[in-house]
Amino acid sequence: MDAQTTIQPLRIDAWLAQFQDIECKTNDTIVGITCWYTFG
Amino acid sequence: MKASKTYSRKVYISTNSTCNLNCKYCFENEKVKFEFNIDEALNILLEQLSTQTIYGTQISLRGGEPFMVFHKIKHLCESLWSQDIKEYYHIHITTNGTLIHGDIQKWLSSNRDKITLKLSLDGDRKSSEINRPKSFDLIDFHFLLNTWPEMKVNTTITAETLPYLAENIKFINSLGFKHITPHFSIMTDWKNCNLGNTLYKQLQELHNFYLKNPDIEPCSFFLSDISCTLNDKSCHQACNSGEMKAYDMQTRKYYPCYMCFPSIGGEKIAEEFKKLDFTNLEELEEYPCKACTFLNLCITCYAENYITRGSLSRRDMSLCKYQKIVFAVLFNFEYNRILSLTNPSPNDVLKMMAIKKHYKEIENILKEELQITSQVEVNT
Ligand code: SF4
Repeated sequence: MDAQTTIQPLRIDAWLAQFQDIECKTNDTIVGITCWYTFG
Repeated sequence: MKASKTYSRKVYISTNSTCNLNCKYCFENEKVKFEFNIDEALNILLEQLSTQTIYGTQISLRGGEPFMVFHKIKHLCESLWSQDIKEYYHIHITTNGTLIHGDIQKWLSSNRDKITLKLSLDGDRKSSEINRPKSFDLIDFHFLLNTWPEMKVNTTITAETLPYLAENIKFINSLGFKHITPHFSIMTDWKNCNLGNTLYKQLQELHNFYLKNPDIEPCSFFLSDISCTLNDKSCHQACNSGEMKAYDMQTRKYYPCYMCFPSIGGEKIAEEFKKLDFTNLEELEEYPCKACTFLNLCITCYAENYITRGSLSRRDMSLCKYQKIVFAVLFNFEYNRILSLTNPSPNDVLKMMAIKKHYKEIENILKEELQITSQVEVNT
């Protein structure tokens, strides 16, 4: 299988880790962008 | 051109039942000859446009093939334009494109700022010949794209054209059309088709094509916002929510949308539609869809559900497998696309969170529906 088409859960975690701070800071903005759901 | 989503009000007018083509998937069950009355349509539109809205009114003229009655449409539009109307409005016409030549081209060209066309095109000559014979060579693509460079294209997938899906979408792109919306034909018996692996292969080809060509806008299968799957509740809105009126010139009555016209589901169902409540769809959701991870991605036609299966939220289960394959490939595509970005947006972060939440489900879909096991790697 082409590596490009493979979802790797650990890679997702590493990628998301970079955005943890931003995520906290921009929670309001995020809720604003996709207004139909609330953040957990 | 204004995006249709931003209109405050939509008014559908049925112009005619006739069509010059005989498409495989046409759901108009009446081929009786009907044409609208210009004065009546004008009065209906003037009545609707007499009140002002914030974002204006979209007027959709629907056939059959509307350009079969071009002289009447021309008369109607010119009468409307000659009136002093405060409300902003714009006319939209969905067409098979085959009749747009000569005088029709001249008239459309000089009114391009007041009218927008949407083209139904199922792919290259071969696929067009399968779905709607003798249509392809009659379409003047050059004129359409010159007049409306942002023209949208609707592409219907039937069992016979599904094996050429990637080729067809790439072909339509190569003509110069940027906005392509493929959808599965509602007239196909998908249950007996067994085309899951074929669809997966076609979508993988498009997945790779869009990753290699990030400047090309992917077709709508690849544009849905997967972050909506982070919400466990249904957040569907009926497409006729807000102010939408569909006036059927044949029965001289308003319906919730044009799919509710008697010419589609019959008189009895059309009357039932008027009494249905489209506002509380979350409550109407039924199992198994109610518990599905992809519910919020799974666009459905509520009217078609009702006509065919007797309930607004009862989706076509013979299409479920195909929908899920589309979603599995979409999740993969977003994963690869987002990883390649240097500046992901907050929404991309949300999408990645959705992938994290649902990758096991994706793995299951591929295992169960396609017997593919190596799509998700647990270890790096
Ligand atoms: S039709 Fe299938 S994919 Fe769509 S919401 Fe229902 S169960 Fe989910």
